[in-house]
Amino acid sequence: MESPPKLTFPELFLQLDRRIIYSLVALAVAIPLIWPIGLPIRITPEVQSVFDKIENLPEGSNIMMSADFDPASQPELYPMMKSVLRHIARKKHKVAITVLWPNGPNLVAQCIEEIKLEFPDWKNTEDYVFLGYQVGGTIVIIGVGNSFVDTFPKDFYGSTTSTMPIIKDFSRLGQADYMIMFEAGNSGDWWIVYGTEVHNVEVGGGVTAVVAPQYYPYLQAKQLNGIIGGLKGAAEYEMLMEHPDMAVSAMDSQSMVHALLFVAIVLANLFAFIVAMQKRNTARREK
Amino acid sequence: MQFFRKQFPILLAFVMGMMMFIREFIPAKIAINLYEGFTNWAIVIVGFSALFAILSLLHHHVNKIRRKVPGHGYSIVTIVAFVQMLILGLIFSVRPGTPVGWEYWWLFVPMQATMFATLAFFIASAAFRAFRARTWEALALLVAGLFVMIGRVPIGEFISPYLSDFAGWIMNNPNMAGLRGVALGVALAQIAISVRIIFGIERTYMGGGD
Amino acid sequence: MKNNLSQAAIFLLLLFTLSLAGFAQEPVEPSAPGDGSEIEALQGADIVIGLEPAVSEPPAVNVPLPESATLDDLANDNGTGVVLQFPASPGETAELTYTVLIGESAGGPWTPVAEFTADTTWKEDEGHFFPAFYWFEKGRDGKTIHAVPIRNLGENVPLETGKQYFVKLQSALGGTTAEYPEVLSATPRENWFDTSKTNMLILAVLFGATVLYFIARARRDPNLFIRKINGLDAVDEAIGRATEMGKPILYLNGMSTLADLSTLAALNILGRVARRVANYESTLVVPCRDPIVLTVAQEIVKAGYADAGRPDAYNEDNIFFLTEDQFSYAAAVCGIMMRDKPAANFFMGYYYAESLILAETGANTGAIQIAGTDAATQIAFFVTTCDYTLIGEELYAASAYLSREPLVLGSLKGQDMAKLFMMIVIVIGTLLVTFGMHFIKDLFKALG
Repeated sequence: MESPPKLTFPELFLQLDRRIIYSLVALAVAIPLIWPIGLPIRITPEVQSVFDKIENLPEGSNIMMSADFDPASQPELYPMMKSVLRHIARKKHKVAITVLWPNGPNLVAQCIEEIKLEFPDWKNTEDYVFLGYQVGGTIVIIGVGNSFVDTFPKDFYGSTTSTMPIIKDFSRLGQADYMIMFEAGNSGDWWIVYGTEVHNVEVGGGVTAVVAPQYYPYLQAKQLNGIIGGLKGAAEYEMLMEHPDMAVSAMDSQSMVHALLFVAIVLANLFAFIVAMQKRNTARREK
Repeated sequence: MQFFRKQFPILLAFVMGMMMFIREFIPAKIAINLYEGFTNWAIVIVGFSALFAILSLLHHHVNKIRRKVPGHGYSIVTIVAFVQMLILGLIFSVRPGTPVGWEYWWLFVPMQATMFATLAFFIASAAFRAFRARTWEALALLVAGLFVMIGRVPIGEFISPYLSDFAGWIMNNPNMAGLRGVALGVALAQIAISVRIIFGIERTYMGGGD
Repeated sequence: MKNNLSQAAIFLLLLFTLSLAGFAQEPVEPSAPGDGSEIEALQGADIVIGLEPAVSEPPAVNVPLPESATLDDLANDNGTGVVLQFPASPGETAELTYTVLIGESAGGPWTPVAEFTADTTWKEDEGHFFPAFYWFEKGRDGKTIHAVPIRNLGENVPLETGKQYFVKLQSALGGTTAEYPEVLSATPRENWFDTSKTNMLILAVLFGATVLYFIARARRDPNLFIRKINGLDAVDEAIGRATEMGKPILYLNGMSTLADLSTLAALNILGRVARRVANYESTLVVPCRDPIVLTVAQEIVKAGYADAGRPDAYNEDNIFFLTEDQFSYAAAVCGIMMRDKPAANFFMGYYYAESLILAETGANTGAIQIAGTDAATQIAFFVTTCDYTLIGEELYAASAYLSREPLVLGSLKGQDMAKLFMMIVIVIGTLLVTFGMHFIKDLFKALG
């Protein structure tokens, strides 16, 4: 029986089993987590804009926050949300938080608890109000534009919103000095169209890397003042806060995976070219 | 009866569609109240649809268990998980510190994050398999993609800050131009399909085809 | 006589000298009373000679005020706003602060409702109802008129429609305040047409009319050209392949609800696919994420089978609800793909991050895959993993392409005409804006 023709190295490489690729990716993620490299993180203007806005607001300003993501996007958006909440607590701004995705509220509640450990004086109903989740999407946005109390008669913890001290001066979206939204999908479009454009509130976005490209047109049109994009954006914000946390620790892994993919794709194309040339030469010789 | 199945939905779609279109240009209170009223009704309908979804889910899995189709064990797990979460949620609520809160944080969150994390592996294998420059356009796309891939992470900035700047330029210029083109085309297509629905030419939503 | 003249001269000289001394003196302002004790001391006195030393006051600060101001009903609102407009005060600087006070009567009481520095709160577009009349830029930086919309009486008390309100304007500079001499009044009124959206209405009506025109034209002449869309041509190939292999066809309607037009487009294609699957006597599996989409999908597939003359072959259990959760749905569909190994996968509608998980798993099973989405960020993932991809509006064109119905083809034509118009406007507008002519851009802006 004839043995199958021996494959050259380029051909072998091109037919690489995907499980080998998965293993290499796993190693590229795991090794820098165990032995960090410490690559420098450069701050981009988009993230700097969001930071500067919150930093330069007078103490006690009103900030609207919407955390529209679920556990799937938690690795990217949770670190940036935590950093921003830390910033807000540090600057003693008032914040009202909503969630448009049904699986999101407990993530926000957990984040609030973690921030309260760092800032024990940060008080519920006085410094922040967590309004929770309400079904409706755009309807909720229109509702908070009119009144927090009407849309959320009770907050996430079951307290009546109308009697809260924070509501006295911050009872609707139009009274916000700034808005920050954390988006894993396209609810950010609704916030811009039905919320901030209508009530003339400046807004910044924290988005996953996958959806970041669709928010860049808003940035260019100045409908967004800045974008914290993906885990890298979260890491930049942590650096600006001088409080490196989860995002910074993941940057080396992200860099390694990207570098691995870069090398793999370049090699694959190079070998594909070599194989094609070899086949062409063989065909020419046979002629 | 035929009227309610065939003509009434089309008439309703026309009236509601035109009303919502005209409302957009009327700032008076009556228009705002009308819109709020309809959106409140929409919330009610969405709430009922969630109930319908639960019934549909249970029906599907109970059928699988009854017929003992291969893999019906997973249907048993689904129903048990569903029922226990419902009961515990009703008794203890769903906030952090409750049993459902525990299940959410230690089961649901890791599973969801894991599913999202598999994207990294799938991207790697898809990119390796499919990113081949077979034409000049594909080569241009590939080179741009490689620059963005390496320029948007710290290692790219470490190699050269110009990589990061170039990646930013690609994102802010060609990428945005392409996205805007797609968005414009989609927006116009959506207007056209809306016109078809309002005027009864498109009747897919009725479920009966043409 | 000589003596008289000389005496007169000396007298005049003395007078002149004394008067000069008088001009040289600073005017002495009466000193302000302190605790009132000076006033008590002076009471009862017939002649008071002030012996207090002259106190020099700081020079009076000239606080700029506008030369005119108007208060009008706020245009294009629901009758709960008025707008105060005034031109920039002569000599105003960024240090000048304006305060606007509102009251329900001409005598007050007054509530401050706005405070801003003089370098902010400008009227965006000054007085041009239709800016497109202006061919060249003429001082369009828009920083000459302040416009302050007022929507409440302070403390979130909204203004009432039909009730007269009074407004005062104050300016302050370096601790000194000046007040505009006139108390302005206006009554908020409901507006029945938002004039700032006039251009939008005209464009929408024009576009709708274009679509309807081409639909009417298509009735007369059904042979309208539509370019080849490979993904849609491959639908038959995919169904045929699945039938030959004896494997099912998997069809996904996307992750969005029926309110999303891409879901409607996906359901449209499902109807055509169902009809062809019924003809081929193959199996169609449609797992749904939304319960309302589920009911519509069931009706559509049932109708498709009925139209093909095979109502008996319809199996309702093949169109089922999975879960509304994004990644749970993706995991469940991947499980279906791995177990049932469908020969053809259709991914139509709106997708999020799970798109690659679905498409890559399908690719690993060896299925032929056709995707169609208007989610711009997911198109790249589908292109790399699927055999055919409908990009953006090709998904919406699918119903016209597959059915070749004149009415639907006509609307596609109308849509293309609108796109052509937009392309021409973009090209010409870009050139004009490059040379400083913004009127085309203004055609698409909210009007002032």
